[in-house]
Amino acid sequence: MIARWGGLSLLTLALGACVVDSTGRFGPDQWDPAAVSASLGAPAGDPWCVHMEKLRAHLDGTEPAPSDEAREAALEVVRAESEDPLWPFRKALICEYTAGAAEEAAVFEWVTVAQFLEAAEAAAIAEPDGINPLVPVFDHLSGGEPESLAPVDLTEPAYCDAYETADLALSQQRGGVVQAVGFPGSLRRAPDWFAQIQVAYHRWGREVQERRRLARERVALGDAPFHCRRFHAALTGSQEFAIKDNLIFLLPELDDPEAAGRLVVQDAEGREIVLDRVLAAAQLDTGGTGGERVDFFAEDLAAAPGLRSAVERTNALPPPKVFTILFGYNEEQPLQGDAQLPLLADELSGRDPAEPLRISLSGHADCVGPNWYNTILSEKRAQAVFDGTIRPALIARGFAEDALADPRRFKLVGLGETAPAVEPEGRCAATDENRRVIVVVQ
Amino acid sequence: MKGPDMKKLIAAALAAAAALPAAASTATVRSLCQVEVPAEEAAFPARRGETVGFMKRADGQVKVLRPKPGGFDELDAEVGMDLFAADAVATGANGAFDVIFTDNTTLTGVADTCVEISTYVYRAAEKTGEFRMRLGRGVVSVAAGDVAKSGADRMSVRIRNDTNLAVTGTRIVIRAK
Repeated sequence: MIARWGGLSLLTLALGACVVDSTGRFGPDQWDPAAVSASLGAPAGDPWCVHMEKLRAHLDGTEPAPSDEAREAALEVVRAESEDPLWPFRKALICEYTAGAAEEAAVFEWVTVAQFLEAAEAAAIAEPDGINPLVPVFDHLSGGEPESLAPVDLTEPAYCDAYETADLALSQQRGGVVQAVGFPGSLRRAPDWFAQIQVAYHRWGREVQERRRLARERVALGDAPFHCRRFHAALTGSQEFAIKDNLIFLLPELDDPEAAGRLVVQDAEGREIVLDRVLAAAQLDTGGTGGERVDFFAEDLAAAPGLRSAVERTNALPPPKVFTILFGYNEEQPLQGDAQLPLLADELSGRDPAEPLRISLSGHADCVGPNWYNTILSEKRAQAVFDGTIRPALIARGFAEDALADPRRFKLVGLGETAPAVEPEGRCAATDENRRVIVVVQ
Repeated sequence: MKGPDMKKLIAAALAAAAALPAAASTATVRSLCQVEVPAEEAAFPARRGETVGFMKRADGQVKVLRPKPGGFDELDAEVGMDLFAADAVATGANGAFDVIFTDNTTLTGVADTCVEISTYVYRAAEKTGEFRMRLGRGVVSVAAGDVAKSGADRMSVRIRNDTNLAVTGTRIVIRAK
């Protein structure tokens, strides 16, 4: 902390001892931040902690920014350590808080050391119900529930001019996890930057608690304490992880929540992005340029009303259904015991007469016999399914006769032998699969 | 989009469509969804071909913009109405819709959205064809049908000129601003 004051240090040393004794969280042998960090899963030389150190130096203006490649490499390692999607964020907090505690320990700010180590410990606890580690840390800082959730412009450089402002901004973060930068999924997308934001905020709050409030006129970027400046720099840096204007992502297939199809996105500069798993996403700049693949998370969806309503609406839409009814050789009526007929009847029994239902039936025949005969036979087959199954099911549901006669809504065609399901090999044969009626219910 | 905004949009689109023949010689024109597009890609009054799909659900303010010589018709979307190639569907602030195409593709749009059916050809017997859409603005969800499943280059969605989303059998959500 800035402006170290020996008297206060002695006082806080005594207070710190009380905190430690009363909580029992840290015994005398656990005052070493490096040892605590190692016990929480972040040993010395940990690649993710090394990355955080470099990022911190960059935000303090003393080192160049870590390269994207180095960041990705470190992120890959930390992601492989745990299935918890928030582990990279939590581990970044551990690295940062223990680093902060080490700085404090160097000048005997024992209350702050204890507080930072507690925060690191809180960050290490994976909450089974999905509560993220921001909450206990902020509780610790503000001493309870915030009284106001009034919006605060976090991009305003003067945010550091009063403890109240910082507290309000923290409260705002608590609600939706860094709402200021848009999407909650950012926490999983840019865990390092957001850990920087949280720790820098925490340090600012700590400083104000220690009554080291800066005069308003001194608070401008460049003259602010380093952690305040670091907060602002991290906030600015995290903006680049916000979702862009143009976004595309994949939903799971209706019959398999784990499966997704494939989409190739080509941006205006010819860049191609292949999406082939659930929630895989691509985003483009306003002009269609700058296409990039991004991680998209369920939290993002929950936070974006337009996206969420589109997903909810499309999930609520009954998908078109296709049924294939089979026929015996030269038969106009379906096979006895055809498996699909009861499924078709069942589907129709749930339909609302007010719904703009559309059904198309295409009849088919095998290739045995003349074309003209097979065309007529296939028409009769389509008609037989309509008269024998569809009409009675819909009339029973309350559909009107004149609605059933509307050719725009109920379309029957006979395609004869022109579109076989199975192409006969060599000579024409009476292929069972080709004697069918395909019913599409929309 | 509130009523007056929607009216403004419609008026602007009408003016743009009216200017279509004159603008055809220039590089770009505005499409029904008010996107600047190359003149040759503009939605010209198409020969009224077969129905390409129908309005399965429509809630709130939903308009179907249908090109005609010298402009386009602005129709209130009704549940069950037929849609044709070159139509566009636009929603206001409280609008949402679902369209089902003849190839079983479904298209869902939410508030403040405008989407154009640029090209739609479906050969049912072969389960193949060509399907091109353009999302002018807003959010849509597309569940691919037979056309997309018939080949990698059969169905695509554009959100800006020179961009292309090649859909092959999947469910997607697209947002464009």
